[in-house]
Amino acid sequence: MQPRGLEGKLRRSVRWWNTPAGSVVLQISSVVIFLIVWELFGKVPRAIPIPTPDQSVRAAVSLDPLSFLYDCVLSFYRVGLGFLIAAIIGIPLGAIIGYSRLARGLLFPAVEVLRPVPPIAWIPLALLFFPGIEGMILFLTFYGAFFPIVYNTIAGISAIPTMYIRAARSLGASSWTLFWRIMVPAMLPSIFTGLHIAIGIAWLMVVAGEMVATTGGVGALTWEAYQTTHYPLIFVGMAAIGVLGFFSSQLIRFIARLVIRWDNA
Amino acid sequence: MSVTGTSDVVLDRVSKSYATVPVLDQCTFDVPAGSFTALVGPSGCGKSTIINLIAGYDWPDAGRLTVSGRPVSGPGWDRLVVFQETALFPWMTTIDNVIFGLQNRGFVRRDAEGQARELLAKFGLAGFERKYPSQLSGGMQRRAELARAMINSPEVMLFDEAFRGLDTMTRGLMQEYLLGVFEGSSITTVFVTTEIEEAIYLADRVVVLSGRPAIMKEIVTVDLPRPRKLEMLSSPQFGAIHERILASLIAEAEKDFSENVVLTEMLSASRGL
Repeated sequence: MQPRGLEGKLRRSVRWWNTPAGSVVLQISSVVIFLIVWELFGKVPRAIPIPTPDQSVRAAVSLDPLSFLYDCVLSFYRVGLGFLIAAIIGIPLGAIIGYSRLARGLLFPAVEVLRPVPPIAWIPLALLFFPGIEGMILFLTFYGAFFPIVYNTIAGISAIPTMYIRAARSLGASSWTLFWRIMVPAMLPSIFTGLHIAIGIAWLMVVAGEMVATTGGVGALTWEAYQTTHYPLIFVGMAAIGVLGFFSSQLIRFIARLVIRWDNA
Repeated sequence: MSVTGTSDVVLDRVSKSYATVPVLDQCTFDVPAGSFTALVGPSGCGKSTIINLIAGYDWPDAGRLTVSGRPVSGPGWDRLVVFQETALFPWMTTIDNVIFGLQNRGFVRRDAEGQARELLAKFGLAGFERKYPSQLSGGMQRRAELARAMINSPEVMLFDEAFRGLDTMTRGLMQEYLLGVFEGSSITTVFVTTEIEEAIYLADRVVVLSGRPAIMKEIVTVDLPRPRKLEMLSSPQFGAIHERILASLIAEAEKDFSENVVLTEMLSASRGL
């Protein structure tokens, strides 16, 4: 369902594009217009013309499906592993920084110093530091995912209303109960916000890393398409990255909905 | 289970400051065991602070605060609070909220749920056991919260402007409800409110507090018969009590106001120089 938009809330009269059928027509038109504009760009006279939609589709069909699938799975694996490690370290770290003043004083300044450096700026150092390509890419996806997870966990624990803690303590909650039955569920929505942002950045990082390393993955596929002048393949790589990123973010959303049942109940 | 009706709350020259701002200054009054005592006073005068001290969320800087003769040393299920906005845990269903206290005290889930079902039915919440708080109306949330506290048989119930934010209808219904539960019970009740009518309608005694830092200004005994009836709100007796409390509060507000005026004049004079 498309968002209704401000106009939809203000106007009472139903226009044709506000009907269910009309909205489908509208959405198809949007895609068609996009393809036409793209096609037109390909017609602009240039030394090397931009590949058109039909050329890109033909390039996609001509690809070896197994090696393409391998690239997709490889990128997904690199994102997933870095993301998982970031979550396993980042969530407890954020919780400790958010909970304890000692931990905040000790750890938060270090986190703050590193944060303003965009993760992509770490690529040269990562190349120097890690002997293998896999280690370098894993570090990049981990690093990109790490900060949004830590920050949103800190925000989640800091935003727990004291009222809940007080009510729980009055009702005789032990520290264990207070942590697992009050604090953890109270910060879950915020943690999932962090995970959602993190997976997007992890995809950004895997593409950057693979373009530098050029050893497999959809980022490498896209970059090599450019270098080997198989230009229509560039679009295939881009589309694959987009679809995989969308799929990952939907996966996080799906898990969030399973875990946080009280919000949309 | 504890024996109820034996707990009195005594504040003896209790003082409390937050970041050098004095909120309570040698505040002294007592809440007799089994009584329903309302606290009224100008907004921001430290009524909530008194609740927090009795509940054990905070400690007095000076003075003595005792419940059943023992100094308060921290939160406990013998003194339970109904908060301003609902403090039901949003991630637990209504019944899980209600049995939370019992579970913490080692009750088996099945026994606790049995008790909770009975109480929820009494509180008009039968059929809503498996709903989350966000699926309940404002009035239902307050009743569920009351059930969550009452299932523990507390000796002292503390209400911190518990009915604020409810519409007039729901608020009236909740007052009726509260009377139904508390009249004839021996629970000691402290009820903080900004509504004088509400205070008189519900309470045996109304403690009037001064503006910040709060000291006890006077205690007005409400000698209206029980059970309280809605008609009493228009009785001359009710009017007289209302007038007395209002006069007391207005005197307080005016004192505050004139102090502010003097301060403002001083400030503008110094700026003029």
